[in-house]
Amino acid sequence: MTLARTRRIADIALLSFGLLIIWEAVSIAFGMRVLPAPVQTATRLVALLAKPGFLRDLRATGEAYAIALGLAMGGGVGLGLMFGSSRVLGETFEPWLHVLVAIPKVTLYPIILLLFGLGDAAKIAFGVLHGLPTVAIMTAGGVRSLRPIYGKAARAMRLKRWSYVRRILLPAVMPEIVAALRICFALALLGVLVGEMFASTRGLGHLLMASIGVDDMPTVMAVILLLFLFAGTGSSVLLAVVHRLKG
Amino acid sequence: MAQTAYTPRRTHAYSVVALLACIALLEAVCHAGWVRPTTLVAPSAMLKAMIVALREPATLADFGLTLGEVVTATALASLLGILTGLFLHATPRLRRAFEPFIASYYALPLFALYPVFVVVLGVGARPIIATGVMYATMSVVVATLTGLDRVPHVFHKVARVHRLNPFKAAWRVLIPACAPEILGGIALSVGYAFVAVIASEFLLASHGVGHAIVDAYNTFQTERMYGLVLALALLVVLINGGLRRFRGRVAEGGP
Amino acid sequence: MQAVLSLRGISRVFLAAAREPVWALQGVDLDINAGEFFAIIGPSGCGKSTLMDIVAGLLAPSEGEVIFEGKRVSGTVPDGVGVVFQEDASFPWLSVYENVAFGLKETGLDRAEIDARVRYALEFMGLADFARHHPPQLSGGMRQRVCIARTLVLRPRLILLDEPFAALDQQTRLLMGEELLRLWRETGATVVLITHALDEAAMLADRVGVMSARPGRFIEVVATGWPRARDSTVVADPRFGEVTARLWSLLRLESLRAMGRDFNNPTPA
Repeated sequence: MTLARTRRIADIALLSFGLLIIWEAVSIAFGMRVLPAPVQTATRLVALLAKPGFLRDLRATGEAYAIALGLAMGGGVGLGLMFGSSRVLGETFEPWLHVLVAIPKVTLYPIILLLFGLGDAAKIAFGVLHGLPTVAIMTAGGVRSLRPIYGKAARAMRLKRWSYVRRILLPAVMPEIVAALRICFALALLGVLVGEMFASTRGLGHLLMASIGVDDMPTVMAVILLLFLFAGTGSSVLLAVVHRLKG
Repeated sequence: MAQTAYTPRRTHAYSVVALLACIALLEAVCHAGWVRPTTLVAPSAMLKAMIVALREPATLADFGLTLGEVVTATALASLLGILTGLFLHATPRLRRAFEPFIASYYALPLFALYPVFVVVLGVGARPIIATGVMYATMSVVVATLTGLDRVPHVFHKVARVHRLNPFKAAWRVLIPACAPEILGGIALSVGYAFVAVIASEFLLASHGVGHAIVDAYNTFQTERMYGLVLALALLVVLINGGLRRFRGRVAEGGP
Repeated sequence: MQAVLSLRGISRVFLAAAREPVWALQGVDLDINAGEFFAIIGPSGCGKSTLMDIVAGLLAPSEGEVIFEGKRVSGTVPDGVGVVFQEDASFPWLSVYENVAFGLKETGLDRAEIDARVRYALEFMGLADFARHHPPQLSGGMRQRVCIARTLVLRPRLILLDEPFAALDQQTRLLMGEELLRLWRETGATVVLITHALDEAAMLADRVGVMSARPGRFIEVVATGWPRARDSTVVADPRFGEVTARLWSLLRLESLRAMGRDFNNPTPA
């Protein structure tokens, strides 16, 4: 590792430490009861991870998130490939996706709740609603920016449609898909979480709201810490992967 | 090289036709009674409910309140964002250390902090505005940093030749030099602020459009709820659309 | 004559992360007299702009010192120093008038006085008709004139110009050179002009300093002996040919050295 990189990592570590100190200071200023401090929060998180009740909530969120992510990525890539390859489909339906991205999906939440009821389906729907349009748009963009030689080579080799998709199209669009994954990763999480906060009886989001209700701030902060660590790590890892792919 | 070129007119024609077809389909489905009216109402009923709702002074007051919160959040975020951007730009080492945090900022479920704000700041507009500020600030920071990066190096030198202290230099030279980028970032932040404010109002508010929608939902006034959602969606699309046009003009033309 | 600007043993090194340090300047000594017009020429990359930045106080020397009006220059740009840069530094969001008035806002002069000075400067630089225009609407030469007017209006005692006419065509350069002479005579300031154009230096200056290839230092100072009231017609004077011949013979060698120089071997000879 070069000196510069070591320095950077040291700087980031130093900054993280500094932020923790600021958190501690703010905690003291507002009072530990109102805003628990870092050590308190970490301790509570470790304690929670041993409790079966918490693990149930964690699992509920995790499952819903995994499904939402899978559906958003699968549906998004599928639609993106279609819209990118077919002019008619693309020109007709992609603007809808752009509008969907432009609208704060929050405004559609009540409608989702009406359509899916209160429960896991709604949560997953939120996650998919947040992630799918962006993935579709990015994938379609990737397909459209493909060099025409790929299509010509495929036709010259007389590849069947599915083979073409699997062996040429998908690998070629992979950088865009991974970039979309990075964004979808965060959006789906947000969607599922907010869905749980609004209307659910289990999951981390629900736990958050319930804890606020009984004034259990340490649990609130512990859950937030867990979520931030997960999202931050995932995002950084994926960013590194995207950089590596883009070369 | 693009395989397909988008001609705007044809794009619009196809999607508009498809959209109208969908709306007509919805209309038919609802009238045929295939869907429960407590779940989905016909587009025509949505429109009617929207007009009725917008005529009520209470609804207009709610919209005014929400817009007020969005504007306040955006204003605070802009100020905070510009100052932070200036500071980070002036301290390159600190900026480099911050970069991973900046890159991951919008990946974090920031909304989870809203309940914390409620506890710390009390109920009412303050935690809502705080959440809005939290979401909106980073886009202004990023825009300010990008803009400052683009300021020609010679401008910095001119400021020093005129012996301006750092604050005067920022105010009289640097910020005007990157005003287009900053304004673009602020326009973007309005969208973020809107999302945060509406979501907060859904959750724990007693006033505002979000609350009105939740209220209609809870009291099974489905048509009214759809009407309000439609009104809100149209408002936001108009505002965002207008801001995007503004950003485009500002980016090419300058002040 | 008292030297108003002294450079003593100026050196400047640039450290890059994984490469050898680059010595841009090494042991620069120079004395410039009050009210003199001094030109500096040298091959590309010899550190002329770096020297300018150091003299102006924009950059600190690694070794040595700059003395201006008896005081050491360090950290900040001293009072009474004006700089015109090679790049267009006019502010596009201000009108020509506002650009020129820019520096005066800090001085606490009253509006009438500011207005008088700005109008005078605009008049002097031939910009009076364009007071309300914005720089993007003007040509490159006019934008440089705005920058010069902006400097002039502060009545600097030392005017530094770093290849201000580099982006202009030859005719415009010659005319701008004459304007610069007018400016010089009018203000009575000391002028230091960096240029890569031999003829420009020979025509305008009282003395011309020739810099070596990197690491830069002065190898010779050639005096032209022109009268104060001169213009571009000095090119017809036989002395002009002698001066330019001398300058080129010095510069040619250094330019060849600069071009043949191994980029990875910048340590001082």
